[in-house]
Amino acid sequence: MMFGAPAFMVAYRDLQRFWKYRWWLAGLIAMNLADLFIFAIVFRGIVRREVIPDYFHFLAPGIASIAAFAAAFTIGREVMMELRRGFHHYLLSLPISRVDLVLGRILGGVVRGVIYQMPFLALLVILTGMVSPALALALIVTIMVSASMSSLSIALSTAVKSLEMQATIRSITYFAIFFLSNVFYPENVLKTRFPEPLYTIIVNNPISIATSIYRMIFTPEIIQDTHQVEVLLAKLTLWTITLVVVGAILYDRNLKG
Amino acid sequence: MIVEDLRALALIALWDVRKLGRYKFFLAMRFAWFLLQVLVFGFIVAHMVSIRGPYGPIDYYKFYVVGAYMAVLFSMSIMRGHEIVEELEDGLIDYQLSLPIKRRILAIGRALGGGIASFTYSLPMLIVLIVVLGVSSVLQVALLALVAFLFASGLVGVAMSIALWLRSGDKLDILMGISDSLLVRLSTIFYPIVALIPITIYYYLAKVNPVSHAVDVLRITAIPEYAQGVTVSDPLIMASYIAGFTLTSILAAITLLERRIEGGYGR
Repeated sequence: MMFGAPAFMVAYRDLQRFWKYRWWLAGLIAMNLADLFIFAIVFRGIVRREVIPDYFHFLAPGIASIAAFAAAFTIGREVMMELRRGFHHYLLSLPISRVDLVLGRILGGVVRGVIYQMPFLALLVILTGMVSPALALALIVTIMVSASMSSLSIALSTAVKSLEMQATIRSITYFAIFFLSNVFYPENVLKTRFPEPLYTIIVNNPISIATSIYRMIFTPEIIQDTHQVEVLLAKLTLWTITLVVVGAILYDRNLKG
Repeated sequence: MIVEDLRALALIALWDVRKLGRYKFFLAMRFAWFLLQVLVFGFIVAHMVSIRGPYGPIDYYKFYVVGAYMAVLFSMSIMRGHEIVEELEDGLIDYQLSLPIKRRILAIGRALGGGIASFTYSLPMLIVLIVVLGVSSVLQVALLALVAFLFASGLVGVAMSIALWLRSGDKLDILMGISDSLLVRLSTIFYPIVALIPITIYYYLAKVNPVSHAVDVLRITAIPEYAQGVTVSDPLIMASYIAGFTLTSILAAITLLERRIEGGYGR
């Protein structure tokens, strides 16, 4: 068998299982679309123009980030349930290497994030009319943000034994990343409202970095940030590598135990 | 007979309330969500928006704290629908129907018990709201609690009715997921009704949405100085709307429990 092929098979299985949650997905899609077409449109009318000239176009790239994040993050719940039910013993009995299994799980989260987010990226293209080679960069960012969030979710799901505690930690982390990011608010407002260390954490959160890059690609006229895309990409790459390594190590440790 | 019915009602309501301890982790998650909404989202967004009511500018932060509380109360109450479906699956509803209790008492007891439970879950958030907004009058606090409890009972009635009508966890998930997103956003939880006027369809949907009425009654009670002139309707009309909504939803649950419950759980 080709090197790495089993990892793709594991990821394919995770993708198939993703569709099992079609009802949950319908709710998630409704929430993402309602945030964009109701919340953002109404907010466009009440947000001061000098802060954000067009809140709808400001929020749209953030919704794309959140979409990839939410979908990739689902993999952790499954890993948690499998470890709880002892299903990982079956996975370990399969004729695939441990490395393929671990990478396959992370890849499973990546595939979920990318596939779920594609319609939102397509919507961004329609809304902004932006068709250029930069779309390839958007796809790379999606892959990286999905990989980092998939790994983080797996890491959290294997960090503690108690199922309830795991679910609580995962949810709190999810909310913290969601709200402590630049998805809903511009960085200049964050800078004036939070102390410097907290501001630094918020703008360097992977979701904030991904959102900043999407904004540079799709809606550069809305907010003039001083970021350099190369620096943002370097930071996101660093996050991705770190979280993938940590997630893989923790998952592997739990498979052994 | 009336005494027996009241005793049965109290027992059924207590049965729901006693399940409180089971949800401590769920409560922790909701509380974290609420704190992030109040300490981060509301705090930042208040410096981005500018809304004027007929009596001057609105303090968006105070306006939003009440909205965040209502969003939590809404999701906690609606969650009871999932619980009902689980009970249908486990045959627990069949067991309750076999008890020597009138069905209407059972339905009212479940709705009130669910309302008390949802309201109790939301108490830590209500305390945060009272502290943040500086609500000091006992009457105001009592009114806030009464409206929250009434509305929670109404929502539990709706969740029960939908769960009994659909009898499917999958269908309930999609309906609740979509209605949660739409009902919360098409209400005055995040923005006052005046902000919705430019979008006619959203404006009228928010005007008839019971969530708008409930959250604006809470606002007019807690922060009358900012809520005056920006609520969906007159305070008395809103209060009547909530009472009517609660009564109707409990009646719907009674009807469904009396007529449609036999036949077990079906996907």
